[in-house]
Amino acid sequence: MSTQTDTLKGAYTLAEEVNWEAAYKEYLPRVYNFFCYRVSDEALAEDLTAATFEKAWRGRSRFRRDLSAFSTWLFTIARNVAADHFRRRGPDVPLEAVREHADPASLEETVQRDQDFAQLYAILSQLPARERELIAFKYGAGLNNREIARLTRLSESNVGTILNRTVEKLRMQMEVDHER
Amino acid sequence: MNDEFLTKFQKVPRAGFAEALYKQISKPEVPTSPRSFVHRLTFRNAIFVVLFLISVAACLRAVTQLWHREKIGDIWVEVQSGEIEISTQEIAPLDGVVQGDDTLPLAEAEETYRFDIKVPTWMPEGFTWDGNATVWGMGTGTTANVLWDNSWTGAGIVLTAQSLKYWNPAKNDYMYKSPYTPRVAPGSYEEVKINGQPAVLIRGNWIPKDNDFESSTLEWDRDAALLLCWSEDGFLYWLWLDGDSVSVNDLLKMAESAQ
Repeated sequence: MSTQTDTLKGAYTLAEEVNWEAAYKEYLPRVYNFFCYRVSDEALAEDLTAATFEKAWRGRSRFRRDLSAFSTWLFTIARNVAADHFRRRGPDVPLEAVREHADPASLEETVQRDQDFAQLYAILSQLPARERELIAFKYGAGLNNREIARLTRLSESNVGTILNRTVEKLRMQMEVDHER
Repeated sequence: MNDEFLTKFQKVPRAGFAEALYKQISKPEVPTSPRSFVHRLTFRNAIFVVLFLISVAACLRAVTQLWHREKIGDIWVEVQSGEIEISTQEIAPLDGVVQGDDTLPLAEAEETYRFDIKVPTWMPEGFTWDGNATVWGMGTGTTANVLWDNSWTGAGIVLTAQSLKYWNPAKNDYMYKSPYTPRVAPGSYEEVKINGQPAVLIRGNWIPKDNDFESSTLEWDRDAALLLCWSEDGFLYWLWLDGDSVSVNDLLKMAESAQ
């Protein structure tokens, strides 16, 4: 990657340069997980992640550091990519999470986690779109309430209230499903 | 908030996916191709293009309105907005070409200067013609003036006939020249018919600005003159008068009576 840094930095004309290599390393997993929480299908999450970074790269000259934080700008793009996806595909349908590639955890842990996520996603898909999006920003993208508020134009306290309520709803439902 | 059960689901993107995406977005950008113009033809860009074209068209229209040429029948007119500057230039005579300023009976003038013009046989009431023509050749052709004047009102109607060819004795042949192109103000001219043939009716004339006869700057005065212009048989005819004491209909009737 370091051999391409010059290509990335050389294309920059902003007064304050964004270190794109560092930004990519930091935000790729966060954007990817945002989409995992939104669509549950990993292949689709990769596609949407790729679309987000391609748009961000093409529009990098329009990023104004004085207007917004990089994370806000990048996740605004991600949010629009998700909205475009759902507009084209319609409401997403809960799918069984399928891992094609094993992560470092043991296979048993991986299977268990996948099953848990599938259960979570099934519950998430029953929630209103706004609550699903807030969960994805919070627990997929790892954004704090202030950053989520900037993205969604909600107040920070409103974001906190909705998240608290939604998390409690999810926890209760997952406990009920476990007892069955 | 008891939310640990939600945080454990974060995954690490596949290494292959991460590398491939980075390579993809960090590729040097391809120069604009003809296809990319089509892709950039958004509605907003199309609006800008249309507005730009309208602006260009408006500028061109404004420029052409300052000056342009127009042909009516066989006659070119130069349409000039605003004021004009005039300069006098003496035309050097060609050797052997008849020149001078003679007032002769028309028949004698025609024989001397080798031309045959058509003269109106009808004139408005009160106007008379003494049968003479004032002829001059300025080295590049013959021009004849025939005058009808009204001794009661002092008005005069002039027929100016300008030959479009002239006899050059040095070359023992007729020479052809471009007819005089009148310069007129916008909206001061219109096409009319004389015996079914196209002609130009001009209302007004250039007069010294602010009536300063020392000035070389002229401005258009719509009431200064009435002119009728047509071409026939190698001559450019002007039937004109200062002021507007004769109606357009009478002027047309007079022109149509020429023979």
